[in-house]
Amino acid sequence: MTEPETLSPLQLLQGVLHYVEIETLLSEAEPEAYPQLLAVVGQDVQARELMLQVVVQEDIVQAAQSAQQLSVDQAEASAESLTLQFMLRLPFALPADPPADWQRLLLLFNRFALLGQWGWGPEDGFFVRYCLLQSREHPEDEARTWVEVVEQLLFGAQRLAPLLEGYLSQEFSLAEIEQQLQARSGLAAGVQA
Amino acid sequence: MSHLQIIQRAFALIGFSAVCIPVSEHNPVAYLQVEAGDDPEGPVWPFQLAYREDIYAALAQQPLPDKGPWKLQLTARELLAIAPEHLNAVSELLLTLNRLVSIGGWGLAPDHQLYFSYDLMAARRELNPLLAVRAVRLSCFFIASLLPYIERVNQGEPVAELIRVLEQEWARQAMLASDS
Repeated sequence: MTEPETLSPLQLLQGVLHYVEIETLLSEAEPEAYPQLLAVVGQDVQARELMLQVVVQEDIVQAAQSAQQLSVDQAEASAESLTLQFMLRLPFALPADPPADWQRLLLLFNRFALLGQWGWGPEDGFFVRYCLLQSREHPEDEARTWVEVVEQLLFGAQRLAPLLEGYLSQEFSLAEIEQQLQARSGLAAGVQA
Repeated sequence: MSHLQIIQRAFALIGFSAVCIPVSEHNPVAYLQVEAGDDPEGPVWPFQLAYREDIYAALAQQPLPDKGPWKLQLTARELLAIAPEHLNAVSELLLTLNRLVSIGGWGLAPDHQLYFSYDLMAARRELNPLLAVRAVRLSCFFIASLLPYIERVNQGEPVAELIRVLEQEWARQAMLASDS
């Protein structure tokens, strides 16, 4: 009798997202690289695709360790937990001459967002990111949580990204957006609560 | 015993002081106040742990239906008062740091006080208490490692060079960060 195949967390997640009718692409692990799951999980208000990338952070650390021959302490420290990083990329770029306080707007979003951190990086552009720390044993127990994470990141992106674009095009000021957010009771549930 | 009390015990086992405090006299909702610091001689940060669902229930003054995953919010508040003249530079640094940390993120409260926060999610309210311990440990590690950089920018040090150094250093250490 053969042993049943043990699925990786990303393979399990792929199955769960398929069940809720989200098709994904799981890249194969390559030497000194790490697997990642990619999926179009929805559209923004202008019908542009919103792309989700999911990686297991311990895979990134392991890849970096094998590339740089670092110690294995980090892998041992996280033997009981794993961290799934969900990153939803936004389909617009930082303009060449943005308003001086644009980073403060992203921090303002983080105060109001139901889940995750808004951010920007030179390679990633604008994104919303959440890292789910979960037990390594029976990762499939958190299937419902995975779906919730995707839904909440999508919800936040669809609600807040138009404000960010409006701000970058100087349609709204930082103070106006703060007022709008405070008026929206459904979103005012961050650490202020 | 409530689930927060179970988590409280887990913190006690590793030597962190943790106290369950009711949100109000008339509400059974509680939060956990944790004094956390890995170095016995080093600084200690107070963390507040509370289920977001309990916070909402307290605000609504009625229990909410148990329908989705639970979020245990961990927050260390008032870590530093940011000077108004350095808000933009500190914000730029915080966004960089939020890309480097493996969980949670830095933020600014309306009064410009710095905080670090993470929402630990679980399908059920009864999450593994060890995860809460690990999340607080990681958060402590990030605060201890990164707060000095934020203090430097808050005192007027140029942010661009500091970000360059930080990104190089953390990339060299396989960043993404662990507390090992």
